[in-house]
This record gives sequence, C-alpha cells and structure tokens, in this order.
Amino acid sequence: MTKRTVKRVLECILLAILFVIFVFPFYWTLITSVKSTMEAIQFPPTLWPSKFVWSNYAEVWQGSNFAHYGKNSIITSVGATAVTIFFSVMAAYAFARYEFRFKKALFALSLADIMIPAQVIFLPIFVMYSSWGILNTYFSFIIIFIYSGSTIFFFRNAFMQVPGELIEAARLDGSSELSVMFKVMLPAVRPFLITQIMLSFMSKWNGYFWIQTLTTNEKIRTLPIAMNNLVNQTEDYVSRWDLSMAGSVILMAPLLILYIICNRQMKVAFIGNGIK
Amino acid sequence: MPMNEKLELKQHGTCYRILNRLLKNPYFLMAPAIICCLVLTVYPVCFAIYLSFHKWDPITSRKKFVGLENFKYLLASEDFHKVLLNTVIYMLVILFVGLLIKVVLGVFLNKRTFAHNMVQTIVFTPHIIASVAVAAIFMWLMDPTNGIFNVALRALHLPASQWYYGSGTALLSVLIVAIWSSTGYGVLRVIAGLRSIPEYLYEAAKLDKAGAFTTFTKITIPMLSPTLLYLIVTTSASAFTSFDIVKMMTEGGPDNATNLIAYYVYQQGMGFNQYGRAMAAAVVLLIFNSSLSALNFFVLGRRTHYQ
Amino acid sequence: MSIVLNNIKKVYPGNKKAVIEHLNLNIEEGSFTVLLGPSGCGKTTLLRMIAGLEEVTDGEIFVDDKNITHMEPGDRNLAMVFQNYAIYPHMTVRGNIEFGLKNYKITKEKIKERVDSVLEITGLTEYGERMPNQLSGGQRQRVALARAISKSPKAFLMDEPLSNLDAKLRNQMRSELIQLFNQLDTTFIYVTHDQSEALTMATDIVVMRDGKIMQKGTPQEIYRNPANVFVAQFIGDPGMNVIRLKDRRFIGIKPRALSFRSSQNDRASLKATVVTREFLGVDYQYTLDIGIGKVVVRSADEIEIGTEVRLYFPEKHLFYFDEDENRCDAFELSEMEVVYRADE
Repeated sequence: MTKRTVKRVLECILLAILFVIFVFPFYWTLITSVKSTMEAIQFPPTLWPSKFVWSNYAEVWQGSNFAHYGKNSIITSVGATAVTIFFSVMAAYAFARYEFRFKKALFALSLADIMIPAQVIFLPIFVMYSSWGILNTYFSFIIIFIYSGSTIFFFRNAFMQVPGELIEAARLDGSSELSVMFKVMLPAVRPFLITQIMLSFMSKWNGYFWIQTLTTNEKIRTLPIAMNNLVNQTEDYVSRWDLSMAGSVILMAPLLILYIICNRQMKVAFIGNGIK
Repeated sequence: MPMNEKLELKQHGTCYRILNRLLKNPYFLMAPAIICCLVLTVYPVCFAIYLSFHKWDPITSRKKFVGLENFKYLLASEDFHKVLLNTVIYMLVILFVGLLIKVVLGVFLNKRTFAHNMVQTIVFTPHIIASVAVAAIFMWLMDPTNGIFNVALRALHLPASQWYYGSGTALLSVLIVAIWSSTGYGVLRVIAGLRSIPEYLYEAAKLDKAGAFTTFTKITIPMLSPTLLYLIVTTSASAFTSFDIVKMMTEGGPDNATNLIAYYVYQQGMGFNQYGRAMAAAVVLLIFNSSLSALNFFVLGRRTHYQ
Repeated sequence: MSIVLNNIKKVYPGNKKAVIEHLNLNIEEGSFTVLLGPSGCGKTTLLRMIAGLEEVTDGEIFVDDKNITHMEPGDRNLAMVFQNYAIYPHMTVRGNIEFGLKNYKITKEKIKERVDSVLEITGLTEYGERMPNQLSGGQRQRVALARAISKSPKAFLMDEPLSNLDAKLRNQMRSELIQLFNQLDTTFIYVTHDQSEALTMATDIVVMRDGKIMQKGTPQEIYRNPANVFVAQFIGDPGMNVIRLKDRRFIGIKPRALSFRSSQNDRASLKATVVTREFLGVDYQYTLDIGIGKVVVRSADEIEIGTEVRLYFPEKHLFYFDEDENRCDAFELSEMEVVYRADE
C-alpha cells in the first residue's frame, strides 16, 4: 500500500468514528423512544426494537401533558422572537440611520446585556414580578425579550450597509416611516433578517433558565421544563426512559427538521459566510 | 403621451402624520428597547448588587443591611470554595481539551468532499437542539444500571462507572456532555477561520520552501488567532453561565461535585431562599463574566480590524 | 413650473460654518438646469434641499409660488434619480416603479397602464419582471429613470446619475436624457462635476463654488463669457490660463488662443520653454514654463520638448479680471508683467 492509501483509509476510519460519536446518541434516542419500557432497559440491549411502541408518544403527549407545554413553547417562542426582532429593528434603525444627542452613550447602554448574564438578574426580576403579581403570565415572560443587545447590534451593522439613498428614494416616493423600515430596509437585509429570526426562535425554543426562574406553576411552562419533569419521574422505581426519549424527540424535532431542510442557511446563520 | 397627465398625491390623515413624525424620532424608535433595558437589565443589576449587601427573608419580606457579611459567608463557606474550584476545573478542561478537539477536528474536517461536509453537518447538530434534550439523552446513555455506556464497558470486561451519580465522576460526565454539544460550533468556527486565510499566503510559503509544519505554525495558527481568541473567551465565559446541563443531570450533586457558580446562585436564591447570599455569589459571577465579555468585545472589535 | 430659492442658508448640525449662505436662485420652468462645480461646492446639498431630504437652515424654497421649504419630501411631487440609482433590490423592475405610484390617487389599471408605458419609453418592456441584480448598470439607470418618469413629477432632480456608467454608455445616456427632456416638457435639475455633461445637456448652467453661485447662464455664455477667474479656469478642457499681474489684476487666455506664431494684433509675448507634450490626435497639448509659472497651449504645431519658444497673446482672445477676480474692461498692459498664474 502506498502512503497515500494509508492516509485515505485512516481518514475514512476517523470520519466513521466521528459519525458514530455524533450520530449514535440520536439514534439511540430515537430507538429507545419506540421501545417498550421493559425492552428499553433489558439486557443485552437491542439495536432495533422488536416491536414499535408508538403509544409512547401518545403517552407523553397526553399523559405527561406535552400538548400543554408544546402549546406554551409555541406561544412564548413565537411571541418572544417577534418582540425581539420588532423592537431591535426599530432601535437598530435609529442607531444606524440617525444622528442625535447621547447616541454613543445610548448605544453603549443598549449593549449592556452582552456583559450581564441572566444568572445575575433573574432574582431581582423574580422579586419585581412577584411584587407586581405578574409571575406566570405570557406577557411578563415575553417582555423579558423585548430588549436584546446583540440583536440590536447585528441589525445596526446590517442597516449601516444599506445605502442611504434607498431610504431617501422611498421617502421621495411618499412612503411612511413604517413602510420605509419594514418594506424597504428589512427586505434589503433579508438574508440577515432570516438569520436573526432563526437564531432568536431557536434560543427561545430551547430556552430553559428564564422559564424555570420566572414561573412558579405549570401554566405557561414550556417543553424544556416538561423534559425535566419527565426524566425525574419514575414508575415503581423504574425510570421510564422510553418516555423520556420520546419527550426528547418531541422537543428536538422542530429544530432538527428545520436543520435538515436548510442546514446551509443555519450554519451560515451561526458562523457567518466563511463556512460556505 | 400618458406621462404628461399630472397625478394627484394622496392626502394623509392627522394620525398618520403624527405617527410618521414620531417614527422619525430616534429616541422614540429606541424607547421600548431602552426602557426594557433599564427596567429589566440595568435596574436588576443594581438591585442585585444592593441585595448582596442585605439579608432578606423572602417569606417575611424583611430586609436588613449586613454590609459585607454575605461575601464573608461565601469566603468562609466550604461549599462555595468547592463551587469555585468546580467552576475553575470545568473552565480549564473545557478550554484545553475542548479547544484542542475543536482545532484538530476543524483542521481535519476542512475539506470540501461529501463525507467531510456531512460529518461537519452532523458534528454541528448538537448545537441546534436544546441543552435540556442533550442532557436527557446523555442521562439515558450514562444511566448506571441500564445505560448503553455501562453495557458496553461490561461487555468489554471493564469496570462500569457511576457516571453522573458518582461524586468522583459526576463533573467528568457533565463535562463530556458539555464538550460533546459545544464541539460542533467551535469546529465550524475554526473551519470558517481557516477558509478566510487567503490562498496566496500558502503559495508564498510554498515559494519559500516552507514545510507542512512550518506552514501550520507560522501561517495557519497566527492567521487563525482571532478565531482562537474568540473561542477561548466565549468558552471560558460559558463556564460561568453553564446552567441547563447541571440542573438537568445532577442539580449540583452529588455532594456539590457538579455545583458550578451559575447553578449555585440559582440554588441559593430559588432553592434556599438566601437572596442575599445568592446575589453576593451573583456579583462574583458578574465580575468574572463581565471582564470576560469586555475582553470578548475588544477581541471581536480587533477581529474586524484584522481582516 | 419654476423653482425659486430665496436667501438659502445651510448649516450641518454640529458644524459652525455654513456650507451654503445667502443663496438666491431662480430655476425657470421647463429648463434643463445643471448645477456644476467641484466636489464640496454645495451643489448636491442644494439639490437635496429642494428634494426635502435635507433641512433648510434658513431661507425659503418656492415651487410655483408655493412655499415648500418645510414640506415632507413625499408631498413635493418631485422625482429624484440618485448616483447609485437607489433601486429597491428586493423588488422587480415593475415593483420598483409601482412602489412610488401607490401614494397617488390612481386606480390599479391606471398604474399598470402607466408602468407599461414608462417601460416602453425607457426600453425596458421585456425586463419588467427581472430583479435588479439581473440588470446591467445601464439598465438599472433606466429603471431609476423609469421610476422617476412614472410619477409625472413637477421636476426631475438628478444627482450625478451618469457617473457610475462607463464612458461609452455615458455618452449614449446623455443623448437619451436630452431626448427625454424634449419629450417630457418638465423642469430638470441636474447636479454634476463634469463640465462636458453640463455643456452638452443644459439649457442653463449654474456654476458653484464654496456654497456660492459663481455664474448662471446658458452653456454658450458660460463658455464664452466667464464672469470670473474661477469660472474661466473651471470651464473648458483644459481651462483658461489665468496670469496674475504685478498690480494684482489678472489676464486670461484660452489654451487654443495662445500661439507660437506672431500676428498683427498680438497684445504681448513671452519667452517660454516646452516642458511636456501630449499628442491628442487633432493637435498637441503643451505645458510651457514661462519663468515663474506654467501655461497650457493647444496647438497643431510640432515642437520638441525643451525647445525655447516665444508665446504670443492675441488681443481679441484676452480676458481681463480685476483684483477681486471678476471680469472687467480691458486695461493697459505695459510689458508682460507676469508674476505667477493665479492658481499657483
């Protein structure tokens, strides 16, 4: 064998190992989710379920009330993404397109949350919310996301690349400011907008810390919390891994499907254009 | 010619005009974001710092100024020492082992074949999904009695491990999960960094008869340094904010073996109702984290100049 | 429709110095007025103030005797063509044109009719459904024009619309613009720093410098009768040689009028050395050293570099300027008391 062939073979082996390391956990999750409770924990384990128990999903959906948490996940994720994008676009537009007093100071202020982790401010917000009596409401949870420094920052940079003449042309065309912003500016930075919507939705869908700290009952709690409940739940001292894995699949599915459909855009969204 | 026919402009109502006026005002445009920033970020930080100097019983809502007592408590508390130690160990491991894996895999996967591309995509997948789900999956894989890891170990006649249930192995287990889920992002960053290095540098190196090793250390690594710096800073910052996996897998246990500072703050506040102590720990966290974030910001700022 | 600018002043926020001050200008109805001047002379600022894109610090703007100084840009019924065309990148050509028409009282059918006919006028009929990034520079330029034409505006404002095109296309668009102007019977206000654009297209030229109007007139007036040293040197390719005399007055002479041969009515002559020679096809362009400064001469005569020659100044081609650089009556020239060229 030549040196080159050896290298080729080694490369293939390494690729295969990586493939297994990163695919196997997902495979095992999927397989476990359709096994029966006993088959899931039987020894030796089966690599393919002897019988597909689809009822695990029904049990999680109804029994563990994933329907309720899923609904909350959709409401809060969509709501929080919408307010993040909308209000960040407005602020970013101001920073990118206007000159005004205190601009630098206000811009620095608008980046405050980049320096401040959620763990520092959750308790004060919890205290405020409970004294105002607005814990466990969609409203109070979603308004946390109206302000997002990084989103403002990214939109500002995008808007600064749009030629100012575009706005002026629209104004000369008699467009209202709202239509300048949402019919001219945003479409002009469309790839960027899609990226931000995707990133924002993902972080809200996957988010765990805020929903854990700003809620005291199940009313508005989301799928990650349901997941936590599920893994901690045992039946006759037997952990229901089949159910936990079915729950995981439900939690992961929307984003995984999105990733499979548009994995290039998503990679670009996270990493930037260098990855293409 | 039809163009010579003059058109008449639409007339707008007062509401439209007022709204338009307002929307041309930058202060109005940023008001919602800035108000929320002040109410839900800046004020809470001040409140957190204020609380860190107080003893506050949330049940009776009684507040008492205690000066530095909360900090003194933390300084003396063995639990907190353990937490800091855990956090530092976590940071060092995820930094050195994690970064090494990212760079090696990044260099290895930086090819444009179908197989490489597919593995890139797969390695990145854990970054997309909820860390809560990742934690649940690994709890199952690492389950001491039925988990596939132990099954495999036993099959190979190796001693099984208690994984996240064992005080000796719990932190390691958490780290494995954290590294597994964060590798993909770093790998893609490294690849993006590698691809931004202009080809002519390598051609120039070839003309200078530089070997593969010299080329790597003298061209690749220096040109990659902005990416590496970015990864170093963000990875170390993640040690201070890592919460989801710990909460899911171990709740800081067993015996505080996996209690990291972010979880400790949560535990003191929400679990033990020790608001003062929680916020004192949060202030410590804030100092670490904001200095790292500031560094990150300047590194990022430099990065743009660099390219 | 005429546009009257009354005592206009413009100070940019944060700056103390006015870019434009005490500016009065009357733009006649149906004229093709070109605002001409070097960069930074305030011509673009002036145009943008007429469009309403820039606040007027002081003074008034009237359109047809209606004060529009503080009107929103969208309410002025003016159309503007920008240097980079400012085409909405996310809309088709048709969409770009329709976007501006939606703010008028006009039915959907009328919009379609209008869009179709402007597409035809600008030769874009087959490109209606294209996206801007599928168009060439010249086609984008036409889209920008089509968008302006479709609104039947009271005036077309154009800010260096041809400067992003290559030389050949620029010449073509120039004649198309002239045709369009003749067809549309509307006022054009056109900003450029390119005098050949101004001279070929304009019915009126306004030469500006440092926020002031140096001269306003027809291309012929501006070219043949510059009112001051600045206009004399700015117009023409190359501009006039202006020589400063010992008594601080100036004389000027165009490069083509300077001669290497003596004639009956020479007013003066000078010793000079040929420094550079450029072959321009029809003739040569020489730079000559006249001891203290340099002058430019266009001539068909062939002279080697380094040759010492005598330059003759025919009387009828001389221009006289006073101490304030303004044109004045002919004055006595004793000996050729050259000090240096005015611009050095």
